[in-house]
Amino acid sequence: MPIIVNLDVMLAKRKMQLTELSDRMGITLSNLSILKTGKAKAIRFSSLELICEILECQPGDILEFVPEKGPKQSDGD
Amino acid sequence: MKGQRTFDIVRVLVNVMYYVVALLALLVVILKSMALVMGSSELTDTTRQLTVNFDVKAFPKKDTLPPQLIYGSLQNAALEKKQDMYILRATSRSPLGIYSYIITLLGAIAVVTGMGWLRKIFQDSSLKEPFREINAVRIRNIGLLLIAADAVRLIGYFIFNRMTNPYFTPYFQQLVDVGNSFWMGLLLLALAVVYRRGVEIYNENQLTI
Repeated sequence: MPIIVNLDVMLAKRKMQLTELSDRMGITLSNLSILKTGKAKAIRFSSLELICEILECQPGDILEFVPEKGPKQSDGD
Repeated sequence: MKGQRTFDIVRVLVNVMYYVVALLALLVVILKSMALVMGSSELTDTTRQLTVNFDVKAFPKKDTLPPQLIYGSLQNAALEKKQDMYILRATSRSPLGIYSYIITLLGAIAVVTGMGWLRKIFQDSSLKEPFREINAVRIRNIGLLLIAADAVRLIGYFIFNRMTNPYFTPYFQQLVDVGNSFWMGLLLLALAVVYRRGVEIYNENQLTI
Protein backbone atom coordinates (compact mmCIF):
# COMPACT_ATOMS: atom_id res chain seq x y z
CA MET A 1 0.00 0.00 0.00
CA PRO A 2 1.51 3.39 -0.93
CA ILE A 3 0.35 5.02 2.33
CA ILE A 4 3.19 4.99 4.86
CA VAL A 5 2.48 5.42 8.56
CA ASN A 6 5.16 7.51 10.25
CA LEU A 7 3.88 7.03 13.77
CA ASP A 8 7.21 5.69 15.03
CA VAL A 9 8.99 8.81 13.65
CA MET A 10 6.57 11.14 15.43
CA LEU A 11 6.82 9.12 18.64
CA ALA A 12 10.61 9.41 18.49
CA LYS A 13 10.36 13.15 17.87
CA ARG A 14 8.07 13.56 20.89
CA LYS A 15 10.16 11.07 22.92
CA MET A 16 7.05 9.09 23.72
CA GLN A 17 6.58 5.33 24.09
CA LEU A 18 3.84 3.47 22.21
CA THR A 19 2.42 2.25 25.54
CA GLU A 20 2.03 5.85 26.76
CA LEU A 21 0.24 6.83 23.57
CA SER A 22 -1.98 3.79 23.88
CA ASP A 23 -2.84 4.66 27.49
CA ARG A 24 -3.63 8.27 26.64
CA MET A 25 -5.69 7.34 23.59
CA GLY A 26 -7.58 4.52 25.28
CA ILE A 27 -6.72 2.13 22.44
CA THR A 28 -5.14 -1.28 23.02
CA LEU A 29 -1.41 -1.59 22.41
CA SER A 30 -1.97 -4.37 19.87
CA ASN A 31 -4.25 -2.16 17.78
CA LEU A 32 -1.73 0.67 17.89
CA SER A 33 1.03 -1.76 16.90
CA ILE A 34 -1.05 -2.77 13.86
CA LEU A 35 -1.12 0.90 12.86
CA LYS A 36 2.58 1.45 13.55
CA THR A 37 3.70 -1.57 11.55
CA GLY A 38 1.56 -0.56 8.57
CA LYS A 39 -0.75 -3.57 8.76
CA ALA A 40 -3.86 -1.45 9.33
CA LYS A 41 -6.43 -1.33 6.51
CA ALA A 42 -8.02 1.95 7.64
CA ILE A 43 -7.89 4.59 10.33
CA ARG A 44 -10.89 6.34 11.86
CA PHE A 45 -10.98 10.14 11.90
CA SER A 46 -11.55 9.97 15.67
CA SER A 47 -8.35 7.92 16.14
CA LEU A 48 -6.38 10.24 13.87
CA GLU A 49 -7.71 13.24 15.77
CA LEU A 50 -6.58 11.74 19.09
CA ILE A 51 -3.10 10.91 17.76
CA CYS A 52 -2.69 14.43 16.34
CA GLU A 53 -3.92 15.97 19.58
CA ILE A 54 -1.59 13.94 21.80
CA LEU A 55 1.47 14.16 19.54
CA GLU A 56 0.69 17.82 18.64
CA CYS A 57 1.07 17.26 14.93
CA GLN A 58 -0.89 17.27 11.66
CA PRO A 59 -2.36 14.19 9.91
CA GLY A 60 0.28 14.68 7.21
CA ASP A 61 3.00 14.13 9.78
CA ILE A 62 1.57 10.68 10.54
CA LEU A 63 0.51 9.56 7.07
CA GLU A 64 2.57 9.87 3.91
CA PHE A 65 1.79 8.94 0.31
CA VAL A 66 4.66 7.25 -1.54
CA PRO A 67 3.78 6.17 -5.12
CA GLU A 68 4.63 2.59 -5.96
CA LYS A 69 7.31 2.11 -8.64
CA GLY A 70 6.16 -1.14 -10.24
CA PRO A 71 2.84 -1.85 -12.00
CA LYS A 72 -0.17 -1.18 -9.79
CA GLN A 73 -1.27 -4.27 -7.87
CA SER A 74 -4.72 -4.84 -6.51
CA ASP A 75 -4.92 -6.19 -2.94
CA GLY A 76 -8.38 -7.63 -3.54
CA ASP A 77 -10.42 -4.59 -2.43
CA MET B 1 -25.69 -10.47 24.06
CA LYS B 2 -29.03 -10.57 22.20
CA GLY B 3 -29.75 -13.96 20.64
CA GLN B 4 -27.09 -15.73 22.72
CA ARG B 5 -29.66 -18.04 24.32
CA THR B 6 -31.19 -19.03 20.97
CA PHE B 7 -27.71 -19.62 19.58
CA ASP B 8 -26.77 -21.83 22.54
CA ILE B 9 -30.01 -23.84 22.24
CA VAL B 10 -29.50 -24.38 18.49
CA ARG B 11 -25.88 -25.39 19.11
CA VAL B 12 -26.95 -28.03 21.66
CA LEU B 13 -29.75 -29.28 19.35
CA VAL B 14 -27.37 -29.62 16.41
CA ASN B 15 -24.90 -31.46 18.63
CA VAL B 16 -27.57 -33.89 19.82
CA MET B 17 -28.93 -34.31 16.28
CA TYR B 18 -25.45 -35.12 15.01
CA TYR B 19 -25.03 -38.00 17.46
CA VAL B 20 -28.58 -39.30 16.85
CA VAL B 21 -28.12 -39.19 13.07
CA ALA B 22 -24.64 -40.78 13.29
CA LEU B 23 -26.00 -43.58 15.47
CA LEU B 24 -28.99 -44.19 13.18
CA ALA B 25 -26.77 -44.18 10.09
CA LEU B 26 -24.43 -46.67 11.73
CA LEU B 27 -27.35 -48.92 12.70
CA VAL B 28 -28.82 -48.82 9.19
CA VAL B 29 -25.46 -49.62 7.60
CA ILE B 30 -24.88 -52.51 10.05
CA LEU B 31 -28.37 -53.96 9.39
CA LYS B 32 -27.99 -53.59 5.63
CA SER B 33 -24.54 -55.20 5.76
CA MET B 34 -25.91 -58.11 7.80
CA ALA B 35 -28.78 -58.53 5.35
CA LEU B 36 -26.32 -58.49 2.48
CA VAL B 37 -24.07 -61.12 4.06
CA MET B 38 -26.68 -63.41 5.59
CA GLY B 39 -29.69 -62.80 3.35
CA SER B 40 -31.02 -65.21 0.77
CA SER B 41 -30.50 -64.69 -2.94
CA GLU B 42 -33.91 -66.12 -3.82
CA LEU B 43 -37.23 -64.44 -3.21
CA THR B 44 -39.46 -66.94 -1.44
CA ASP B 45 -41.84 -65.64 1.20
CA THR B 46 -42.08 -61.84 1.00
CA THR B 47 -44.15 -61.60 4.18
CA ARG B 48 -41.31 -62.97 6.31
CA GLN B 49 -38.25 -62.51 4.17
CA LEU B 50 -36.10 -59.40 4.67
CA THR B 51 -36.14 -57.59 1.35
CA VAL B 52 -35.16 -54.23 -0.10
CA ASN B 53 -38.20 -52.26 -1.22
CA PHE B 54 -38.60 -49.61 -3.90
CA ASP B 55 -41.71 -47.52 -4.56
CA VAL B 56 -42.47 -47.63 -8.26
CA LYS B 57 -45.20 -46.38 -10.55
CA ALA B 58 -46.24 -48.42 -13.56
CA PHE B 59 -47.23 -46.95 -16.90
CA PRO B 60 -49.56 -49.46 -18.56
CA LYS B 61 -50.43 -49.08 -22.23
CA LYS B 62 -54.14 -49.72 -21.69
CA ASP B 63 -56.50 -46.86 -20.84
CA THR B 64 -56.44 -45.95 -17.20
CA LEU B 65 -59.54 -46.52 -15.10
CA PRO B 66 -61.49 -43.55 -13.70
CA PRO B 67 -60.24 -42.57 -10.23
CA GLN B 68 -61.80 -44.52 -7.38
CA LEU B 69 -62.96 -42.14 -4.69
CA ILE B 70 -63.74 -43.18 -1.12
CA TYR B 71 -66.04 -40.71 0.61
CA GLY B 72 -66.10 -40.24 4.35
CA SER B 73 -68.42 -38.10 6.45
CA LEU B 74 -66.84 -34.92 5.11
CA GLN B 75 -68.62 -33.40 2.14
CA ASN B 76 -65.62 -31.60 0.75
CA ALA B 77 -62.92 -34.28 0.96
CA ALA B 78 -62.43 -37.83 -0.35
CA LEU B 79 -59.72 -40.45 -0.60
CA GLU B 80 -58.52 -41.33 -4.07
CA LYS B 81 -57.02 -44.76 -4.56
CA LYS B 82 -53.77 -44.47 -6.46
CA GLN B 83 -53.55 -46.68 -9.46
CA ASP B 84 -50.54 -48.51 -10.79
CA MET B 85 -48.48 -47.97 -7.67
CA TYR B 86 -46.30 -50.90 -6.64
CA ILE B 87 -43.56 -51.82 -4.25
CA LEU B 88 -40.75 -53.66 -5.97
CA ARG B 89 -39.29 -56.16 -3.54
CA ALA B 90 -35.91 -57.75 -4.10
CA THR B 91 -33.60 -59.89 -1.99
CA SER B 92 -30.63 -58.27 -0.31
CA ARG B 93 -28.14 -60.34 -2.30
CA SER B 94 -29.63 -59.54 -5.69
CA PRO B 95 -28.17 -56.82 -7.96
CA LEU B 96 -31.00 -54.53 -6.77
CA GLY B 97 -30.09 -55.33 -3.17
CA ILE B 98 -26.45 -54.42 -3.79
CA TYR B 99 -27.58 -51.25 -5.56
CA SER B 100 -29.74 -50.39 -2.53
CA TYR B 101 -26.80 -51.12 -0.21
CA ILE B 102 -24.49 -48.79 -2.13
CA ILE B 103 -27.12 -46.00 -2.16
CA THR B 104 -27.69 -46.45 1.59
CA LEU B 105 -23.96 -46.42 2.29
CA LEU B 106 -23.46 -43.23 0.25
CA GLY B 107 -26.48 -41.61 1.92
CA ALA B 108 -25.24 -42.50 5.40
CA ILE B 109 -21.77 -41.10 4.68
CA ALA B 110 -23.26 -37.91 3.17
CA VAL B 111 -25.68 -37.31 6.06
CA VAL B 112 -23.06 -37.86 8.77
CA THR B 113 -20.50 -35.71 6.92
CA GLY B 114 -23.02 -32.88 6.37
CA MET B 115 -24.20 -32.98 9.96
CA GLY B 116 -20.57 -33.03 11.09
CA TRP B 117 -19.85 -29.84 9.13
CA LEU B 118 -22.97 -28.20 10.55
CA ARG B 119 -21.88 -29.18 14.06
CA LYS B 120 -18.39 -27.77 13.47
CA ILE B 121 -19.89 -24.49 12.23
CA PHE B 122 -21.76 -24.08 15.51
CA GLN B 123 -18.77 -25.24 17.57
CA ASP B 124 -16.39 -22.74 15.99
CA SER B 125 -18.81 -19.79 15.93
CA SER B 126 -19.88 -17.40 18.62
CA LEU B 127 -22.02 -14.28 18.50
CA LYS B 128 -18.96 -12.28 19.57
CA GLU B 129 -16.92 -13.58 16.66
CA PRO B 130 -19.41 -14.91 14.09
CA PHE B 131 -17.33 -14.62 10.93
CA ARG B 132 -14.66 -17.22 10.28
CA GLU B 133 -13.10 -18.19 6.97
CA ILE B 134 -13.33 -21.93 7.70
CA ASN B 135 -17.11 -21.67 8.20
CA ALA B 136 -17.54 -20.15 4.73
CA VAL B 137 -15.78 -23.24 3.34
CA ARG B 138 -18.03 -25.52 5.42
CA ILE B 139 -21.24 -23.79 4.26
CA ARG B 140 -20.05 -24.13 0.65
CA ASN B 141 -19.23 -27.80 1.21
CA ILE B 142 -22.69 -28.52 2.65
CA GLY B 143 -24.20 -26.81 -0.41
CA LEU B 144 -22.08 -28.90 -2.77
CA LEU B 145 -22.97 -32.04 -0.80
CA LEU B 146 -26.70 -31.33 -1.20
CA ILE B 147 -26.31 -30.79 -4.94
CA ALA B 148 -24.23 -33.97 -5.21
CA ALA B 149 -26.90 -35.88 -3.26
CA ASP B 150 -29.52 -34.93 -5.83
CA ALA B 151 -27.16 -35.79 -8.67
CA VAL B 152 -26.54 -39.25 -7.15
CA ARG B 153 -30.30 -39.72 -6.68
CA LEU B 154 -30.88 -38.85 -10.35
CA ILE B 155 -28.11 -41.17 -11.56
CA GLY B 156 -29.52 -43.89 -9.27
CA TYR B 157 -32.94 -43.38 -10.83
CA PHE B 158 -31.58 -44.10 -14.32
CA ILE B 159 -29.50 -47.05 -13.11
CA PHE B 160 -32.54 -48.52 -11.34
CA ASN B 161 -34.72 -48.17 -14.43
CA ARG B 162 -32.07 -49.81 -16.60
CA MET B 163 -31.69 -52.64 -14.11
CA THR B 164 -35.40 -53.42 -13.86
CA ASN B 165 -37.24 -52.46 -17.02
CA PRO B 166 -36.09 -55.27 -19.30
CA TYR B 167 -37.53 -57.83 -16.87
CA PHE B 168 -40.97 -56.46 -16.00
CA THR B 169 -44.24 -55.70 -17.74
CA PRO B 170 -45.84 -53.16 -17.40
CA TYR B 171 -43.14 -50.58 -17.77
CA PHE B 172 -42.52 -48.70 -14.51
CA GLN B 173 -40.27 -46.08 -12.99
CA GLN B 174 -38.88 -45.56 -9.52
CA LEU B 175 -40.52 -42.80 -7.48
CA VAL B 176 -37.75 -40.47 -6.37
CA ASP B 177 -37.81 -37.02 -4.83
CA VAL B 178 -35.28 -35.04 -6.86
CA GLY B 179 -34.87 -31.26 -6.82
CA ASN B 180 -35.38 -30.14 -3.24
CA SER B 181 -31.82 -30.60 -2.05
CA PHE B 182 -30.53 -29.12 -5.33
CA TRP B 183 -32.27 -25.82 -4.58
CA MET B 184 -31.17 -25.95 -0.95
CA GLY B 185 -27.62 -26.54 -2.15
CA LEU B 186 -27.77 -23.56 -4.50
CA LEU B 187 -29.13 -21.40 -1.67
CA LEU B 188 -26.27 -22.49 0.59
CA LEU B 189 -23.71 -21.77 -2.14
CA ALA B 190 -25.12 -18.22 -2.41
CA LEU B 191 -25.07 -17.88 1.38
CA ALA B 192 -21.45 -19.07 1.45
CA VAL B 193 -20.49 -16.27 -0.96
CA VAL B 194 -22.31 -13.68 1.19
CA TYR B 195 -20.75 -15.14 4.35
CA ARG B 196 -17.28 -14.99 2.80
CA ARG B 197 -17.84 -11.29 2.04
CA GLY B 198 -18.88 -10.90 5.69
CA VAL B 199 -15.58 -12.49 6.74
CA GLU B 200 -13.65 -10.01 4.56
CA ILE B 201 -15.54 -7.04 6.00
CA TYR B 202 -15.05 -8.36 9.54
CA ASN B 203 -11.29 -8.79 8.97
CA GLU B 204 -11.05 -5.28 7.53
CA ASN B 205 -12.94 -3.95 10.53
CA GLN B 206 -10.48 -5.72 12.84
CA LEU B 207 -7.65 -3.90 11.05
CA THR B 208 -9.32 -0.50 11.32
CA ILE B 209 -7.82 1.57 14.10
